[in-house]
Amino acid sequence: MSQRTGPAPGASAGAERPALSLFRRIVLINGLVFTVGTLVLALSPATVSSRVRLAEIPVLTVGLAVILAANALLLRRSLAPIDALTRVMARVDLLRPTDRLAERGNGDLTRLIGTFNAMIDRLEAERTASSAHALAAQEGERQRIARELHDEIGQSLTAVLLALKRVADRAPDDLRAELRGVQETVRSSLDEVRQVARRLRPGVLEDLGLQSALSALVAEFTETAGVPVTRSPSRGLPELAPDVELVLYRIAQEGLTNVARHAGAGRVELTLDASPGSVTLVISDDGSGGVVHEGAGIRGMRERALLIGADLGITSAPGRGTEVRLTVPLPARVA
Amino acid sequence: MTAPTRILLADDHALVRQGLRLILDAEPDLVVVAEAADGAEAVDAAGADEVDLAILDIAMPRLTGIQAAREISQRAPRIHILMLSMYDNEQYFFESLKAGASGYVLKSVADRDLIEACRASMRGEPFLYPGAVTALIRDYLQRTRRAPGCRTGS
Repeated sequence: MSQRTGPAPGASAGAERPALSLFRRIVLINGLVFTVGTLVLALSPATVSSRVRLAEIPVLTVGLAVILAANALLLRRSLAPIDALTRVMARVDLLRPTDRLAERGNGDLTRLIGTFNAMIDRLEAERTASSAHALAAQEGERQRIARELHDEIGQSLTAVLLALKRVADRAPDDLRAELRGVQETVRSSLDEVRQVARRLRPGVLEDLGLQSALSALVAEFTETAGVPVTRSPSRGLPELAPDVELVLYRIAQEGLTNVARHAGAGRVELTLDASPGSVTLVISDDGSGGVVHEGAGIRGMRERALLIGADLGITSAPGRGTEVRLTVPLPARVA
Repeated sequence: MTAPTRILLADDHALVRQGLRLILDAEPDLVVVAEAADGAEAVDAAGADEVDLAILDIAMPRLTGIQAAREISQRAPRIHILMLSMYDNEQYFFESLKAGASGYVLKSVADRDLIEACRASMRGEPFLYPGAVTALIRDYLQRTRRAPGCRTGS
């Protein structure tokens, strides 16, 4: 943000400012072409009469055409990288950090491309930082609400339930049926509170770790969506940082939610595998596939993947199911 | 008539503890002899008092119910352990079994099931909530389905 005003301090202005050097280049090219034209006119036997003769017109026309063509050709080659840059600008997507223009050839514009790439790098870094901040805040808030639901409301409802039992046991017969009804109402509110808390924050992830959390997720999905999930056992999984575990869990959760909502799948497979240097999570289904538009769910997955520097790939050919593949690089010492 | 079962009750929420105690004490064959507000207290109480059955809330500060169960079943293996939990999640249930618990009661049905669970536990029988049975069956089936592949693999 500090480089916004004026030329960079301490730099020689001409070399650092693409506009000026581009101007020079164009003047140079034009000058060169005109010089060559002038030299040809001066040194060749060709002459132009004070009143142009008919025979001279074709020669002049050809000469002019050559000059224009040479000029156009040289300028075009010179400016070609701007086209490439424009294309990159049009397709740049901060959620996919690999898209960069190579800084090759062509002197002055290299610097322009370099500056552009640096700008994208900065924007990406800023975006990652701010979405990390937002997601961390969101997770923290969810955790707090889930804990309060669990520890405060859940426990109070439990206490009410227990007290109601005592009352119901000693109540006269005509009241007992009614009290049983109240008990059941309290019981179902307690169930609801528990479910809300669990959706907000997977307590099992914190308490029992990623493997158990994924098993629980898969079991719950099979139960609610009615689609069987094959979960291959993961072996040799290294110890993962809590933020990595959370991202893996949330992406598996989002992936399964997408399958339930859109895929119309008959079978889902979830694998988490470790290889030297990386951990890979794959969720694949045999549903309709053909995901063209990336909705909020997939954007969310991409943002989370960026947080831990992971690569998210989605393959979805129409009629051939969808595969979500998350590859998390690991620090070398862990692998 | 045998002596009543002596119970250690551990839950960090005082109102819940009180409610549980009233229900348990109302039964002639059950008596609460110790209370604990966290896992570490529960482990201490299980060592000091003459206790037959420990009822442990799964989510407690300092030591969780599962950690406390592990400690208690190591130090005093004759004490039966019942887990009391908010989660109908089989992962907690499996972990509880591993830690040495013989029963798992959901808080949302504690008023209905707890007494029966205590008695089952003292008879040396397991006590499971309905979902746990389903989870056990599913887990077993998955293991057997996986087993042939493992055998050829090894």
